[in-house]
Amino acid sequence: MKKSAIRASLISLAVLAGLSACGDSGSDSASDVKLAEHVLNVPDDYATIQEAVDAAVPGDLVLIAEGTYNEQVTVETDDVVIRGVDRNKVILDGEYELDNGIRIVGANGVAVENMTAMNYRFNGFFWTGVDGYRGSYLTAIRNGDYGIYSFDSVNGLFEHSYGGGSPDAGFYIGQCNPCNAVLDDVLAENNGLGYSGTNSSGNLVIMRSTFRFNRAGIVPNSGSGEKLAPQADNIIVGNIVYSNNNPDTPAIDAALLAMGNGILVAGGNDNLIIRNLVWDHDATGIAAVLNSDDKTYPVSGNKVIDNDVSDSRVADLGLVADPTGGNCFSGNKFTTSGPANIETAAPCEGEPTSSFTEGGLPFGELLTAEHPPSADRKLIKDPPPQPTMPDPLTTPAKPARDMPGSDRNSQSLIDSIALPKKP
Amino acid sequence: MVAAAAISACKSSTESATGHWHPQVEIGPIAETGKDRVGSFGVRCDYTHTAPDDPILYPGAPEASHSHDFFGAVGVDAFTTLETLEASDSVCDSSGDISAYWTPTLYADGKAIVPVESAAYYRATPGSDLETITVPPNGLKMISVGAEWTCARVDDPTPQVPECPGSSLTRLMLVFPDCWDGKNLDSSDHRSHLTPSDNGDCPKTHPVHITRMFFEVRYAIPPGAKLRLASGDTTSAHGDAIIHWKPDVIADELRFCVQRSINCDLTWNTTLGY
Repeated sequence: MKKSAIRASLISLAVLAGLSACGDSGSDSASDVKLAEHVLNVPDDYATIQEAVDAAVPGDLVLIAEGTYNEQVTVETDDVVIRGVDRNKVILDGEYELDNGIRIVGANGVAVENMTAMNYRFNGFFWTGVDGYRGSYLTAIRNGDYGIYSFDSVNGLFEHSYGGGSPDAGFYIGQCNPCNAVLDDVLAENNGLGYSGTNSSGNLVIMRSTFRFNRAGIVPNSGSGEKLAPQADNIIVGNIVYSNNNPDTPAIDAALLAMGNGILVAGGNDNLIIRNLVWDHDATGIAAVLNSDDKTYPVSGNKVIDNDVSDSRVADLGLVADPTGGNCFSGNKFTTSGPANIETAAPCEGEPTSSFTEGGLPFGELLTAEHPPSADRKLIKDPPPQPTMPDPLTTPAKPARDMPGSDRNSQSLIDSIALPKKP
Repeated sequence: MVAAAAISACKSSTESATGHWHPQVEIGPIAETGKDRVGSFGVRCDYTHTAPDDPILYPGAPEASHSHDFFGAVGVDAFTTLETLEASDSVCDSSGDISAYWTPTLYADGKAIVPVESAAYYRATPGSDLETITVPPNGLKMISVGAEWTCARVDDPTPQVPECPGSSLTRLMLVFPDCWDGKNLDSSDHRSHLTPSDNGDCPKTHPVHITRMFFEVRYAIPPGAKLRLASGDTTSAHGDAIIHWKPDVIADELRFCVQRSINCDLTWNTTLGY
């Protein structure tokens, strides 16, 4: 988006003056590693992150020193990488006054790495209308809508990141089809929903992540509030999902309704939920149910396979469909289901050997159950220090192109992810 | 001032010579795909209070109007002006919006219903020249030109209040004009300084194309209740606003969102496409 003419003139100045064009010349002098075409250091070269972002051209690295920055940053330049030197010590703090930590608006290929955004009115890190996005080693805490969020965007990756204390969701990917997006090695806790994805469909993989202490864990869903309904075609694999019954989180109404469920497909279709470890939920461990706002979205074609589900107070596995909706359950380790005989009545292979005759999920009761109201997100505590990015000062900046990356976007990888063990 | 306000959107329909006040602008259907983006920004602005005041139609005359529900800026009353708004707090969840928005109070079986949620959206009308579109100036007094009710997405709106299923909220959708004469923040009839565009084209009389503002109010209506507005029956629905934003915030929203055709800062993840 930035004009190439600006870059050309800066390079000319650099040649004439014998100085770097903006910030560093792009290399770390200690190791001679070229981090980027230009490295814009905050605050050494630019007093604020926004000033550095505004000066950046595609391919640049904005490198942020330790400190607390009371800023909200909007990015409109393609292919910029914004990186903190230490995930836990580079803090963007909205102080409950500012709207978004870093908001990427229609800028493709922007990657944000290794920092914390907290206390924003809306979102910690937010991409909208982009092709190519990446969030790595990010911590988002106590933000008023979502922690880490992409909307109407495709080809993305959220990895090694934390979302906590948001009333809607710690992580959210919405309104895309196909999304071509991956969540890998993320931790979501103390949110309304750990993950929510409204009308996000097509090659979206949630893997190797932990969702705990939310009102509900992983909730792909269909809704009328966004385009591209209904939701479909996600893969949820190799996750640890437990104790999502937390009455002390901030929570939007939908999170209150979903409270006590581990993995809940609400009006979604053709999702594969495979090899997840799920335990300790007041309602269900894994369930597929219809969703109804102003329209009713049934569930169909969802496959629940080879999961280990236990200690659910209503049912380990659940289904609300008419009668099976093409949803199926096979190979799961579980004790209870609603309806009863769920794996023989709705197997993924072979013919059913029983029918749903009894023990239906008490869906109405679950919807109308009283839940503790939303708590004040300001009461959510900071998490302990999170694993920081290795070698932030010597790793070359890579814009978010070809996301989610061939190493994440492969059937062989998904097939290789085993059922996790309890931590 | 009362004489000047004789043409009043906020009087009851029985007081109007023509009876009910009819919407002039339809809100329009939703685009079918996520790629049909219309640049927009939105802000949740909660209900603050109810009062029989109207700072546009009855400025300086407290309790002269029928009952209104107020949203956004705190403490709006008959004495509210741009200057008082500059000193106001706001319950809008964007740090930049200190506008005053208001609508007639809705009654169900004679009892006033407190709105559950409300939001303002500012967007480019399809067909807009994104290079020249701007935002409404601070102090602009606005009255809506279209009002429809819906339960579902905006492609199912009606002038009458529908029966909404289950726990679904009922939405009042208001649209405001998007062409401004470029000079006057108000006019003798409180409308003439603004007019709706024709698919993004503004007439020579009103050459300044501003973002089209929508205001949405959501109510929890008891099933089967008899409804009326303080302004008359439910087809008399309308809205008013005095605009006041922090200039740097709204300038950013215009530049980053509207002019780049991006949906920003979505309220309830609702996109009201065309």
